[in-house]
Amino acid sequence: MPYIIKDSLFSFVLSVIGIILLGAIPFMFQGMTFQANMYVDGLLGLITSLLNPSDLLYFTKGGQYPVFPGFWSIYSYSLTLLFAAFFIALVLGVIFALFIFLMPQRVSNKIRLFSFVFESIPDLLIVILMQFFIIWFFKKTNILLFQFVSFYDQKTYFVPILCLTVLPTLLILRILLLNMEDELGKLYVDTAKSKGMNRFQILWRHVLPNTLLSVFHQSRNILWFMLSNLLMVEYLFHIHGITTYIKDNGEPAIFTISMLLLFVPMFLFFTLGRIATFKWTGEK
Amino acid sequence: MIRNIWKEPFFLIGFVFIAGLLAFSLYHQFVMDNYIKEEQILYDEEGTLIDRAPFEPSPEFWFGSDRIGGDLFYEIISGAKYTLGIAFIGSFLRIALSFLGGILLLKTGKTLSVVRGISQASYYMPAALLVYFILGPIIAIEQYTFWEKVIFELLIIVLLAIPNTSILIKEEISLIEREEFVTCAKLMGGNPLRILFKHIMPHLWPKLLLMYVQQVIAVLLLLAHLGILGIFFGGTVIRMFSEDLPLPFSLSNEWAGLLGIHYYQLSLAPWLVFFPVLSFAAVILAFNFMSEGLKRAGNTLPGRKKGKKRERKMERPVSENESFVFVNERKTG
Repeated sequence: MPYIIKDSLFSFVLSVIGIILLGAIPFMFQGMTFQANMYVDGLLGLITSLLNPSDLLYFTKGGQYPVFPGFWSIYSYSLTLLFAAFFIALVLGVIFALFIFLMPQRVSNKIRLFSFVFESIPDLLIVILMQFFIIWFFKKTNILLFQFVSFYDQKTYFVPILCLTVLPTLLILRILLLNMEDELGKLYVDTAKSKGMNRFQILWRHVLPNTLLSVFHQSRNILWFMLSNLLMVEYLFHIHGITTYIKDNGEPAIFTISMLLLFVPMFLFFTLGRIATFKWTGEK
Repeated sequence: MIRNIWKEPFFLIGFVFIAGLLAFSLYHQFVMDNYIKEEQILYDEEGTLIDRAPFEPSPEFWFGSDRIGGDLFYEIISGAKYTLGIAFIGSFLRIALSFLGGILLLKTGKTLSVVRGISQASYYMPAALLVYFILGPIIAIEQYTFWEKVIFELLIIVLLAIPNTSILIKEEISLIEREEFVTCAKLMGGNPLRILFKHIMPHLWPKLLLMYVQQVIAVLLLLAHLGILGIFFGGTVIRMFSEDLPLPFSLSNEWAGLLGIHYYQLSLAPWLVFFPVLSFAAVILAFNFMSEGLKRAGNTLPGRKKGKKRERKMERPVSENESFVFVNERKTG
């Protein structure tokens, strides 16, 4: 336990340093020429401006505004989309995985064989198909599922979360399918079978908890992948979320502070998960 | 393993698709002189006007046409060589430089955890946004030439991926280093470079190849995202649509450029956005087929098929026609 906290703290500090270093990269280039001393100066300037977040300003055509408090509503909106989609994807992935394993062996083998196809759908395709669908649905039924032009204070949840959920669900499903197959070959499954437990009980009580751990080990990659998705969804649906906010304000200070704030909840999630795993299995 | 891949159906399907696409693209460039049909107005046989650009997908224009009447199918074919070329070169540079980085990291010892921690930072931000954030202001400067911008963009795309890929390659090397034959080679006094090239590389090649294919996919996705965000290779050219309506067009028909240029016409002419995205999806699918084939080829040992056949023969029941007799009662001889 103390090891986990120490290690997490260590990687937290390093990641923060890494994000600040990345955030200062634009200072490195004067036009296209590389300038190391400008980078150091810019880095120091960036750190001082990060220490006084209340002085941060962002520029629009209408003038300049302080970043905080207005930032929080955008931030919480994007975080809600991200984590809601993640947890929905987790639940859906589990349901589909159980369903596939309860199907006849031949069918489920075929699905597992081609499950790598799931990984090759680009997020752009999902978002654009969704837009087609909304337009088509509107033309047919006159019901607009999504307000394409949204205002700053107007927040829609259903369609963006739906778009964000599709690909992570498939990703989690693939991880579950591959790991459950390994897990089903283990001896304790045979023991459970010989005791007369039915297939669903074995899957639900024994195999699933063990494979969910592997999903958690992959969750950093899944969330990273979802961040790219989030960018596309926010940009293509004209949502005022955190990624479009950063895109519209190319200021290094705003970029860095947004990224830091986006990093904190994700990091907390992983650390809590690590502690929970440790309590459960004793695995560091 | 490298020889095995040609027997792997998944790899072959992906490879044939990509090779076919590239071959067609080059054929279009050199034999068909990069000709792209352009028609603004369509007439039927009697000469009456039936449609004007942009046309919907039809037998004449398979993927439809853009607003100036250019055939989207041939635009995509013509752009394929550039998009695939950028992805090939970009991921090759990523792997080559990361390989050097991985070897350097072998010598780091304790500082490795610091390097790993810092490079983890890029796992908490969307890749396309980071590239946009760095490139956006520089691409907008007009004084640079087309090629300078292309090289600079490629450089950023390559460099940002190197820390994490280096660590991955370093870990692969460390895994192989733990094998007994490496210890033997060390004990016999082989110098580190010789061990690396003679003993480790034969085992590392297949993994590097797999990483390469995965990097191609990553670069293609990044290109598509950047295209939507308005940064693309291939340059823009302004063509006059009518007397007073200048429209931006992609100079090389590179796919990310097509996406970025046509994105605004999503509701007007959806096929203009849909087909470039679909081409990206098809190519990524083909590369995924290849990487799956590589993984499978890595798992199967040479000669396993033969062994299986022999096993089956042995499993056959000893006697099919005879009735059951105890062994000790069986008449011998």
